[in-house]
Amino acid sequence: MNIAKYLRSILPLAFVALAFSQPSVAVLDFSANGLPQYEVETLVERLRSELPNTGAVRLVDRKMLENILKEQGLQQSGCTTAECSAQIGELLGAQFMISGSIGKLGDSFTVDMKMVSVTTGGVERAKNLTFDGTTGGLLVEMQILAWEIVALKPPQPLILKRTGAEDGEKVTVAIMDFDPRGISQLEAQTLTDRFATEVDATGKAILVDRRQMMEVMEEQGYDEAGCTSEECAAEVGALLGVKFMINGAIGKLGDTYTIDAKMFEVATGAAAKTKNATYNGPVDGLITEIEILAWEMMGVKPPRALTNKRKGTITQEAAPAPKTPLAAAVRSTIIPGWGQLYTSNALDNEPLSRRKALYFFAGEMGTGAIAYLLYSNMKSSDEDTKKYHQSYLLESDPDQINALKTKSDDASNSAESSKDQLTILAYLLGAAHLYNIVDAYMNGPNEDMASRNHKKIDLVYNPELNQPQLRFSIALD
Amino acid sequence: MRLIKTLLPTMALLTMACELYDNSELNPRDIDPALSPGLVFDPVSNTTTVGAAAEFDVYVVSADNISGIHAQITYDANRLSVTNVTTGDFFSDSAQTNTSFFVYDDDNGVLDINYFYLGNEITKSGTGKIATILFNTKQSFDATTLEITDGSELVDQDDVDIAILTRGTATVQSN
Repeated sequence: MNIAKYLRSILPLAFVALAFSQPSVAVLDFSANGLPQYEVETLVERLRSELPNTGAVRLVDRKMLENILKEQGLQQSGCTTAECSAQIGELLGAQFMISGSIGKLGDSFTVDMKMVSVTTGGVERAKNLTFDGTTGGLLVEMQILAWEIVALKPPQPLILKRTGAEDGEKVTVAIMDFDPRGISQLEAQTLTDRFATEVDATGKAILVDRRQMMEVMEEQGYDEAGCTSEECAAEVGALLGVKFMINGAIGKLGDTYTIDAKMFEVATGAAAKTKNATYNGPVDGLITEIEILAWEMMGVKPPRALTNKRKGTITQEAAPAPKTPLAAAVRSTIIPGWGQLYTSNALDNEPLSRRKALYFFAGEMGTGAIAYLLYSNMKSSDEDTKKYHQSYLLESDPDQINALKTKSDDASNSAESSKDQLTILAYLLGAAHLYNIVDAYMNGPNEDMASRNHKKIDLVYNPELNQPQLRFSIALD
Repeated sequence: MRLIKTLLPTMALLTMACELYDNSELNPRDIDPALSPGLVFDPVSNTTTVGAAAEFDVYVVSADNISGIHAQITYDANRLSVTNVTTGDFFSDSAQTNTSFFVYDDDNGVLDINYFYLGNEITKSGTGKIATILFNTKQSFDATTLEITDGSELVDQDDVDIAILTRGTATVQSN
């Protein structure tokens, strides 16, 4: 309790101390050359909002900057020289001032900015950029410049954003070298390179440069050959800022080659797709196989030219189909409770679904058994009715006629009674079965449930801190 | 689709499996004691084709001490003709001689069955067949009726009439 109290008092002071240890910087409005002022203001605002994310500087409030400039009768955009910037900075109490201009030449945008030291009046750092693209792309460039002007490397997600990876159409992917089993490391690397080339050729993914990946791994002290586990791959993927990682293995057993590839989401560790192929044929045919596998992995049909190149015998196992509520409903239609069991299995043996599976199965089987007994009784009575009635029709003796008629009527009544009970039971059974199907469908496996049922502790990538973290989660529902 | 293909025949099979035997058909000889004795046909309906025979048995039901029977049957002579008549077994289980003769008029559609003990020492009670009639169908028709008329008689050993309380009818259909 005392420690908590102590921390509560100390922590705000620590944060304040930390904040004031960073140099303060003010960003003046940039001058606009060939594009509207409001567009330039928007772009500079993006620069301003990104600067605190670098953690390297403390941004002077824009309102404060405007008030001082107003008092001094100065125009922000008119202040383009280092002396002017330094003068304003002094009034603001800032250590550094950033000013610059944004222009447009044909289809190209130009950005020039400099950071001036208020104390020395000299230019501390200058950056310029020529950008061919839309103003939307220029916003990302401004974010990157915010990092570069404070002499920091922009984070990987920002660089990937620059490539257009977050447009939704493409996903960011990094491919680890496939694990060689029975083939040489060099062969595995060659095949992985070919796989990567084909993944890129699908146009469905933005691949992280292999060299960049190696750099990140080296920085983190990983040896690629040693990084074969999913945890390691996920960690590397998080550092690279990619959404998906692909790893796998290529093996040789006698004359047969096996390729196993798995694409998994870095944030959750969940397998997005698994593909494998068994190939028997000449070695060069293996290249074609891995190329085809790359297309299939990205969910695209391989081009005909590629499939025509196929040699040897190929056995390909499809990845297990994702578990769906419809599949659960179909299963429950066939056998009561099967869909619930399927759901339970999909959610790591979820106990409620398992219990429901048992109740539905036992309930319907029990009702079915009673129904069978009633049915047997009905059939037996019906046969008696027929037997006695046929004797009755042939009989001439009045006493026998009466006796047989009574027996036939009794048997008929018994059959009718069984039939009525059977009908009620059939409705009950039908309703129970329908409920079982609806339950299987409504509570069938889906992504929400899967995520609810995720491990309580897992490795995730935190984009704000730009680092992988262990996540501990507790369901509150 | 496969599910529907499997389910439909199963449902049809189950529905058929639950069809119960219909025991509503009555034995023509099953008549109320208060309405006996009677003369009836068995069966009460017969479906046949043109040129084919339709067979009917004629029964006496719940007779009490009778010695002779006269059954007069009418039919539509345009549609039916009598092919053959054979004697039943009602009076045949006795040492007493019995006899029968049949008269039929195919122009007017009347058949007379006479069946009796020779002599007046014996009577018979109960239910039994008195004759089997074969009709030939002349044409196709929906239905035609055979009737036992009120000219029919049951007599005791003294030739006294016993009232017939039930006189049966039968229908013939020809396709």
